Amino acid sequence: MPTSTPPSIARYGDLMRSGELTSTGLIQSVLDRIAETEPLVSAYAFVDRSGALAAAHRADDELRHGTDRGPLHGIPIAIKDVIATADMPTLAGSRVPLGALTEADATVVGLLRAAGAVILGKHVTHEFACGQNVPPTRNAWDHDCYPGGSSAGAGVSVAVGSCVAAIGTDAGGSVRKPAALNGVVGLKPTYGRVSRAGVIQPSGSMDHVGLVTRYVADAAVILQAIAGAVPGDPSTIAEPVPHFGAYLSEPVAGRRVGVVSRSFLGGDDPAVTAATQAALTVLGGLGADLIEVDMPSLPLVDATTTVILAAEAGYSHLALLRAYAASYGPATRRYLQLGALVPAPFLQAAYKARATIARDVSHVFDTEGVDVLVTPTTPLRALPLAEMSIERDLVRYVRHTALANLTGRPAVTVPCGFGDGLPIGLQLMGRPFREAELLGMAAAYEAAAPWAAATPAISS
Amino acid sequence: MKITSVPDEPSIAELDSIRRLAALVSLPLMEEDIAPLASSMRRLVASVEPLLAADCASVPEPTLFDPRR
Repeated sequence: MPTSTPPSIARYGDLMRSGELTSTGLIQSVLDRIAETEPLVSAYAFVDRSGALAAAHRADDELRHGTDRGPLHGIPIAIKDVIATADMPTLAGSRVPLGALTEADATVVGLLRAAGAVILGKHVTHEFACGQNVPPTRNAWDHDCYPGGSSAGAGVSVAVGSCVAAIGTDAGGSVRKPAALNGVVGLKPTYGRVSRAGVIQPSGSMDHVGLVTRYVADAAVILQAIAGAVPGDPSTIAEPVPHFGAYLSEPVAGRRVGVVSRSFLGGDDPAVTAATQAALTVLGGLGADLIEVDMPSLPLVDATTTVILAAEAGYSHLALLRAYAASYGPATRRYLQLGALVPAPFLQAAYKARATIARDVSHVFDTEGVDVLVTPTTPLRALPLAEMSIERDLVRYVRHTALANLTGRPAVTVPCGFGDGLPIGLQLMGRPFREAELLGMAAAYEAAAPWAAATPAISS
Repeated sequence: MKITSVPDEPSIAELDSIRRLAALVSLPLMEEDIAPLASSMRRLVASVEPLLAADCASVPEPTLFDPRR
């Protein structure tokens, strides 16, 4: 099944700077791949062919004339359809009119353009990133299976090679889940690390801009371009921006890896359990110290996540629900209506539970000296869509990822195996604003395991 | 291929509660949404019980959410 391994962003850059590849050539090859794969996976809501080629020509001209914008110069990146772009539509997967909300580039898009990236188009999202509806996107490894979400197009597209990297959003796992279920890397940075200005977000306190890439090193490159406080932007936090690639070649011997207790992990899927155990063996073999940890408040994660996400999303959509209720898809509309009706004591109890969970997680890092916390990214592999129930399965899917949203901590998923041909992800969660160390640990595992080379055999 | 959601049958009182709550926040509801919403609210109430029982009230909560705290 696995076919040839695609180059990293750094490799594409080397080829461009040596004259063996142009951005125009790279963009054209990716557009060809989009034409080949879209009939099967429907990862894109919009492809800006002419705009991408024009940007690629400009990137090539700049390089020829000595202007090098850095590692993303001429690299094709696609954007989730809840992130505003001035030159292409932003519909959030919905028929609800959004007007001025989407007319200017989101800050993250502006930063990518300034870094030389070529914006290819918009990736499919579940309606308003709520995860309640069924978008047309299909899993890269099995087209009858759930692609993950809500950054569904991002995970699938990177997996099939119809973009080099993707920008998504993650309020409960919406970047890491589709990345894991499609066998690629997904990073949710620390809350406040990347601007959310210009992003249509369901939940102000849980939502993050994140990214999906083929390799951990690619994630470091993109985060470098988009991280940092923006003056006057309350969605960012003023923390120094380090070199995110600084630890990519560092040994992990002696690093303390917290393994979350089995009672939380659930054991829903034996293949996930086996792959996680094998990954821990790899980390142990690299010299990391594996420490089983427990946190008394973990049983509160599901309910806390459910209440906060629904209530914050419901409130943020109240005006649109009043004006355009019939324009929403039924499942999304009912989810948002429910959120708008959540009683205040429920929300306050959830906020207090979140503080309790955050305290327990901090204890593990600060008192027990854990450097990273490891879980399966999702407790189960991609389910067949025909067997899937939102009521039953959505909360299960985000149980492990939401822990990082509730606490604001950075978390990354890396591929850690397969079960019956479906990918499995390993999640590593770190200390706030310590993405560099987190990516270093993820890169060490990636280099020691064979999974980064796996790509789905897909052709029309 | 369809993601399915099977609502429970809500009671008359639950339907009325949803209508009243929605009216309080001026949220117009389509008739077809009221029964599924009532069922979802019932499940939400059940799921939130552990939070209410967890007695987290005394836990200090940051005045502004900040992951560094």
